[in-house]
Amino acid sequence: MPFIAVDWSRESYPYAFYRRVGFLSRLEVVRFQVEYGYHYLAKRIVAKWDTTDAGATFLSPQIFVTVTDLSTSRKYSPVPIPLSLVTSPGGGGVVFATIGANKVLTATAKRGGLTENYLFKIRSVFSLEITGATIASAVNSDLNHPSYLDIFIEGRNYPERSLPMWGKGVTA
Amino acid sequence: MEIFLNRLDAGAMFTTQQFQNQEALYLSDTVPAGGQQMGSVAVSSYGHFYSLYITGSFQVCADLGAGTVDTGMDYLRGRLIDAATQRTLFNDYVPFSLFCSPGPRKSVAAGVFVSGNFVQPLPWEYLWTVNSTIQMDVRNVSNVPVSYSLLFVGVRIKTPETVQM
Repeated sequence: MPFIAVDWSRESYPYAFYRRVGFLSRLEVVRFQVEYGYHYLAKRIVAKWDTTDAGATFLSPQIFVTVTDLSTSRKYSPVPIPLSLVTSPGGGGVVFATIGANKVLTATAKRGGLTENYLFKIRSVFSLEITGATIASAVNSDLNHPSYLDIFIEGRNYPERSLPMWGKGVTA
Repeated sequence: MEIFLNRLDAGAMFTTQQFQNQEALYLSDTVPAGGQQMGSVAVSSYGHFYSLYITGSFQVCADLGAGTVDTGMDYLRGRLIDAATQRTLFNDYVPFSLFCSPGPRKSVAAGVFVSGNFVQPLPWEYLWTVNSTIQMDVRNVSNVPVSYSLLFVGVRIKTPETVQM
């Protein structure tokens, strides 16, 4: 009877990155460090941002993102792409302060998102350059970005098996 | 599987089924107000568990001064941990609405799920060791206790030691 053969220390496994971005300027750059010894395949970006200002005025900021592999300076899109076209739940959140300085967003249900398959090689750092622009701003035209942006990246770590850290020096 | 093109061998299927079968592990917990708590579910001794998807729902309630109400806000943040290796599978504490589907549910109105939420499972192909524990370290920033439920859907892979022939 064949049983599943698992090499516990050398198998790939799912891994997710999360970061909250508080906008201080029109351009915010978020960097993620790929775990040592692994390549990282980013499969899907799930993002959410608020669509109200401090006066609870509804706005519809449009978020643009450029994904860059900093180790090779490779940009995965020639121009920034609208985040709302590749991710869900996207906009629709309301910033809400609860206990102390904790800020929470509306618990909009997660829906689908595009599979993107960005591969970042071992030791690389990848970044998301995020810019915002307000569309159909009713009152506050100065608000050209949301207060907060939550980014969740679904992906998978693949070990680089040629490394001595994996023991036998076997090429993947 | 092309069921109209391939002959189904009941004997082989029963043999396989004896060692591998679909299974779902359910993790449910209530996190104290403003607190942090480790929720867990045992993989048990039946065999390894290969999870394929995670679905989940969570409460969205707080006390705004006139008793507990459903505010619709995302108060829980969690970090998934493989207890066997102490490997953290999220790099940080992630708001539940970013990875849980169908997601938010009402708690005041008899625990009825918010209607209109599609199930969009989080793909999570991961092998959990026999006898280990799936852990979810959760922080609650609401001022009332908040509950959540996670379902790990996958395949049980039995080991020679645990299968009774």
